[in-house]
Amino acid sequence: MAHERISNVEALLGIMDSKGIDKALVFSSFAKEVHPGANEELCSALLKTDRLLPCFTTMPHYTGECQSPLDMVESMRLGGSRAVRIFPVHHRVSLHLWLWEELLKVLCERRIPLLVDFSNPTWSADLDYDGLRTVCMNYPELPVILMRASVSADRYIYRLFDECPNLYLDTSYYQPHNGIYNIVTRFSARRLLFGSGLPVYEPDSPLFAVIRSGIGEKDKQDILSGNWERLWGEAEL
Amino acid sequence: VIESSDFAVDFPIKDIHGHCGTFATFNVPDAQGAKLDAVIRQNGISEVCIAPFIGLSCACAQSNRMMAELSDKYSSMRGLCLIDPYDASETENQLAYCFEANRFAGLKFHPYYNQVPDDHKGYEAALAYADKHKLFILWHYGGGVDYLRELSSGYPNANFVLAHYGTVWNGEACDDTKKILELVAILDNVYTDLAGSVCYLDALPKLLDLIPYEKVLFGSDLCFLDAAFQLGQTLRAAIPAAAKYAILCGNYDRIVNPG
Repeated sequence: MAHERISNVEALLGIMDSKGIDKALVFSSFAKEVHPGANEELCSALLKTDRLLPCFTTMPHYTGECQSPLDMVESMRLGGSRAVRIFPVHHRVSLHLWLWEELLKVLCERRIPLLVDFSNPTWSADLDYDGLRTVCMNYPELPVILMRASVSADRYIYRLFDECPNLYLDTSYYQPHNGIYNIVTRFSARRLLFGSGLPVYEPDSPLFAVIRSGIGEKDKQDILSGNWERLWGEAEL
Repeated sequence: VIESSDFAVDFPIKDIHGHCGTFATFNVPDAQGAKLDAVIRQNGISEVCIAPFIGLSCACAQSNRMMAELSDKYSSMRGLCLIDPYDASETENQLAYCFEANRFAGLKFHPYYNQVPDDHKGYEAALAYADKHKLFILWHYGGGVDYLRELSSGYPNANFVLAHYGTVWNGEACDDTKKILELVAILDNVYTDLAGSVCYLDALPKLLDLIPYEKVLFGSDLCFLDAAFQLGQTLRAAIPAAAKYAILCGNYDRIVNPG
């Protein structure tokens, strides 16, 4: 649902069927553009299937553009959502603690996974790893998932994985040579979550990267589904 | 359920675009010697043409020596000759070293890292050599439309593989990429590869709507990137079997191992 041309559930499920993907966490591209009520509309649209899990999109609520954290969590509960995605670059709201702490506190108390998407346009873009670290360190019970980190992520990620047990990495754009193997070997497969990038990007690419990574079958299963199911299940709403 | 067999083919996979060694810009693990050979094979690639990172700017002689040693030791690795556009006499030495004393696969031009324009005079000796010996040149993005026309007709026996254009096309953008790809389609000795970090949904079928599959070569960009990304989308692309074979093997054999 992140691409304007894939505007309905059936179309997305059709692509997933062709790629062999059973379930997906999806956000609304309208919600990303701060369209009022888009998160709730997403939840309604997904009622017809149990294969698509709704992910709310938000940002700091002080301008009134988004729900307050507690109101949002109630909407999430009603809509069957257990995850939140933020776009600090797209929304031009940097990860300053004073700006995000009210939201982060509410999410952390409920262990609601936070997907951080810096709208990374290319492998060479600089991401706000300092802001990411601040979030992870100040809310150690909050699962934080860095989205679309690229081939240049390792010099930050290795240090952050040492410091932050609550940090996870989406694999949809993670392309270091033998990178998955090295993270699994040095840290753990539990740090990685398979991401497809659908419907903009080709899921066969990150899928094959896991399959051909040289790691054990259990680790592959964890990355492809188990880790996400655990985080989704641990959220308390 | 997804099985490894979903990504299987019954012919050798050959890769026109690879690198090796350490890299200043980011961490590149397991990128040398036996570890690199193991990762290449783990990905199911039988042969890859390699330009070491160290030679992309100016350490060409060291880079070519490295590849001569690696290709002697590992059948999975073929050398790409790198030349220094700032030093004409050294260019002659390196061409002789790579193609007369050793069996390098072709040449690699990287004007971006050489910090020269695409049409820099320092490449002329290598262009003439490639033309004379019917070699291919893997060219980081290649020149502009007008210069490519000039090269194609001026060096008709050389083959030009314009790196990366096969993966930046998303089927929609009407920009310079489309102009280049339209040129690839019509110039006999100009090709492109699939190397690149971005993998758009169904990008390869869309690419083949624009250019014939005979003009596309599989390139992974390993170990700059995880080879599995471009390989995965190519292996499961909804394209005819003949196209898949040509892109992953046949076109490579025709250009790298002619005759």
